Amino acid sequence: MGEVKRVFHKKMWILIAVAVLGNLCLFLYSELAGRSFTEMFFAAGQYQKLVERYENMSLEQAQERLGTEFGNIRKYAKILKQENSQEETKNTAQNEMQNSRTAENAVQKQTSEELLSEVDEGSREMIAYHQSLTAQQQTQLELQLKQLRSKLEYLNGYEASIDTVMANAENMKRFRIFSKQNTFSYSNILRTAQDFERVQNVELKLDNDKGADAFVHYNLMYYIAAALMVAVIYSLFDERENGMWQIVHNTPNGRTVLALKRLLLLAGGSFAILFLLYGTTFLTAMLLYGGVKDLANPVQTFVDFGKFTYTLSKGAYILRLFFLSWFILAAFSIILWALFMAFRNRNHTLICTAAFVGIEILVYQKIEVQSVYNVFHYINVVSFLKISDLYSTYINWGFQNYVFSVFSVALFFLTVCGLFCGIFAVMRYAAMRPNTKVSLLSRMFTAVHGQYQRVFAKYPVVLKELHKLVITGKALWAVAALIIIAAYFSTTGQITFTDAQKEYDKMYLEHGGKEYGYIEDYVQERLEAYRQAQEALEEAAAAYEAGEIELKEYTAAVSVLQYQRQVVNTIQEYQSKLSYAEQIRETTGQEIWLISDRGYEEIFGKYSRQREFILILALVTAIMIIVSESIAMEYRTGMYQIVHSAPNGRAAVMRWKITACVVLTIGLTAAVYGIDIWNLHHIYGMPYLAAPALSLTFLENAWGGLAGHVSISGWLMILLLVRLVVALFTMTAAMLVSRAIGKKGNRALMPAVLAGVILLVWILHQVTQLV
Amino acid sequence: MELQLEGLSKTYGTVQALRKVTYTFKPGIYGILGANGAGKSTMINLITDNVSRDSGSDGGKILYDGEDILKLGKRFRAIVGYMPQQQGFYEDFSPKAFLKYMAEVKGLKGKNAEGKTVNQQIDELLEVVNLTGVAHKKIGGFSGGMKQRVLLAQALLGNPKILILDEPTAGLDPKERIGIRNYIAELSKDKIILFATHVVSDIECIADHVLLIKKGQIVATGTPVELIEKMQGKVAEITCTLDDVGALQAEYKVGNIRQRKNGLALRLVGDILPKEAVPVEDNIDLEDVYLYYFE
Repeated sequence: MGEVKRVFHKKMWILIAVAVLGNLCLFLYSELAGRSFTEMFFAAGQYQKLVERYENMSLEQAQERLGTEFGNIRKYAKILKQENSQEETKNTAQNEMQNSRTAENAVQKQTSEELLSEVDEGSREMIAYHQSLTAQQQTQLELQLKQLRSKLEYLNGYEASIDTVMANAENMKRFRIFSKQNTFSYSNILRTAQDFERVQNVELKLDNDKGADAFVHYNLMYYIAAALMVAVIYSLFDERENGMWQIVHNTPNGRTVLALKRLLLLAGGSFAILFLLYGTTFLTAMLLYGGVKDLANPVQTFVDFGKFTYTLSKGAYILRLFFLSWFILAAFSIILWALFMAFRNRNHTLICTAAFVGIEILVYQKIEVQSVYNVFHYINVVSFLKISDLYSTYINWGFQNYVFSVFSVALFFLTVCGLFCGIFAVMRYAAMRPNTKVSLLSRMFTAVHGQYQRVFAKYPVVLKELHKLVITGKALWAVAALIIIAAYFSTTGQITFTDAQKEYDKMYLEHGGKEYGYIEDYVQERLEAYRQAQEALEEAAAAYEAGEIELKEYTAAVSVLQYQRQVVNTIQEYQSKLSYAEQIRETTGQEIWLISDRGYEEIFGKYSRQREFILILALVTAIMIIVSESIAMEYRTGMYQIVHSAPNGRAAVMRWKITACVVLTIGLTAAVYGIDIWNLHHIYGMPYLAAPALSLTFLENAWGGLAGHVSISGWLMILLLVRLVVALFTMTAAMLVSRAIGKKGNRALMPAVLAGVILLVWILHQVTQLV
Repeated sequence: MELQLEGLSKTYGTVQALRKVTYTFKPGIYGILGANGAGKSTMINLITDNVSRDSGSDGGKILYDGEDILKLGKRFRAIVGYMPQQQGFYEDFSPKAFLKYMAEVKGLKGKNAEGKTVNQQIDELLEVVNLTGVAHKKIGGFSGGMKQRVLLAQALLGNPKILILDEPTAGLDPKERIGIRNYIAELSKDKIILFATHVVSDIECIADHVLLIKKGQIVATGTPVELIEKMQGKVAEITCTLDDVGALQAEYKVGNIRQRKNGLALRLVGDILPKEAVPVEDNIDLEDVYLYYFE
């Protein structure tokens, strides 16, 4: 118990609480997928209603019904758009297009009212519901209907897919190369048939498993749990630095008994930490999406669990997953503990561990699952932390008559490693003396550090203050966390563009920009072709009425017009842009360039707000944590009295500290937004940086028309400057608070100050949303 | 050169840590003796301006050559070298890096009066404190004694006129203690050195004057010889059995206890001593003085 209290002290609990909170925020962020919270809650509720609509039918009925209703929704929307679009048109060509639609409809003879009278009650209901939604909600509904349709296709086809697997297994036995007994191929066929036979009678149904699905596929909590266990293990070795090792080692229970207690602590600690993370995430998923009653349904209801060969309910799977994750986390912890036991210096161990994990990540990413070396892909730290993917993957390994699933092999390997490492760690702890010969690794690190110190001694004093901030103040963790957050959030949650959008962007790149005559001509040509098709249709209509031509020739003219209309539909974005350019020219006299809004909307438009908020929050938090130590550290290290009694130990030292903090703040801001811009540039590109910022339609009224005076690159610089000002303001506030508090309560008040900062940033975020 | 304390007082809440202390320091070594909580560190913190004085005239004054040190400010701090009792460091600095940083904080630039650059001064100091071999190793990995020597080196940096050493020999082995003591003794010619310690023998060897502080006041002061002379008739030895020790300790101040052939020899200190005790006349030392005032 004493050991538990020692390791799980107040700071550790604060860290765990922050990690749990952070995990929930990350989970919600991953579910937002670029939407607002309102949209997300709406979508969750809507999905539940859709499932309730179809779940009581048989799967075939549900699939047919959904297909019909979805089709009717789209048809109605299309007709309605055609009927209503005369009010929305901006130019004569589109008006004329609508007029000729009337002529076309005269052939088709179907209005929205007619459609409504033809379709079934269910479709009418769905159409009415669809029409009652906003445009964004309609898109959401259509997306969900598509998802449900795919799901129903899967559910309907499940039984057949299992039968296919069984039949294939039977067929393959007929081939000579697979029928040779005592070979892995033959044994694997038998095993596969055996495994899938277990699930042959599993009956699937449509249910609301969005919450459970999101939870099962959310892997970040395992990473966070692993990071927390690293902190726990690091804390176990405090005794090596605070002088307690010598004392403890000299007591009756200070060796093997203590080591065994620590083994239990690691097992129990990993359970507690995982339980907190797992439980809170699961609760959040259930609260968000509902579907608790559907946890009793088979886990094969998840679309990517078609090859999972155990008959478990979703609830049972989630429970089993918890215990498997716990086992894996505990094994990892024991292995890491053994590694710490192997080295005397815990910081050296951390460095080696980080290097090993880096290699594992690289191996995982580079080795494909089909590779002959895929054992390194599956028996890999990253793979273990994607526990559900590993457990649900149906791949067998083995030789001769011995067939094992990849998961059981990986788990066995981990168990053996964990067992050996546990025994090693206990024996090593008992035998290892506190004062003994320094290891080779320590000598190497000392030599390298010595060389660094020679250079460091010559550093100007401001750089020494910077060193104190980052190294002496142990702020490297905060810096590392900040970089990871910046890299993660600038590469995830991005929107992928449709093929049509990509075509538009290609045109802008090739023929847009400052000189966009090609696009203007392109648009005019298509409009001209459309006009000609219209004229031809009018002539054909007259001729048909006069009996001069056959119906065949008339409908041919209609077809040509319909084709030309589709072509004109594809140039609507260009027309819109050209109109915008004209409007800007008239109102401001400025010539804008014809460029795509899309990428830049992700980079600093409305789709960037969440990413911006997270990055600025992470940045100011890191600055607060690091800078508030700059004065507190002098008290903590005991240097305050010495420095304060020296001639330059007051105003001059303060100036050096401020300079160092400013340099750090600028550096961190540059790092975060450098990573952000680099990644975004990689994903979306940043063409036409020299273009006037007003070329982006979403900047027309931004910040009181400031965009009218700068280029896009200038706008980016302004944004960077604003972020830098916020960062410097935070730095100043942190220093002032730190100085005012002095040696008392810096750490106690930090959470309160941080909360204040978060509130400040939230307010700023709300304000910027008004822009 | 004079450092004057005039009616120096300091109160922490309801506790008066220093009560109207008045004393003048001139060049030489001043040993400051006192139990924990006597007021030694408070006096030192007031001289180094690490703690504020009581407001108004209640706090008293500290004058250097007639001028208040608070008014002198930076100029006064430029001539002070301070080694505190607590070992305070940036543990990831090497001694060389640490001393270079301290040189900046002390405003040392260019060459000193002896024509030595800052780097040369630092190298010399590292040799004095016997740390040349580990000049580029992390202080965090040093033993307590080595850290103590780094602290001493930074206090000596810049050749300060006033050197304040709080427990400077704590953690040092006897050879190192003697070395440091002798080095300090050499420095004392044109410096005011305040040497606060519990190790009476250190003061006995090198101090020109001794101050005994008890409950915030100076209870005795003088050269070691003077203080020892005052102890005539107040120190005696008595031989007894082990069973008598407890009773004697309860009634008298007992110093060393030595084993003799005929029992235990207890050294007693006080104004009133047992009649059977044999007065000690020749080998009275500062430890007896300490016992007399502080037990």
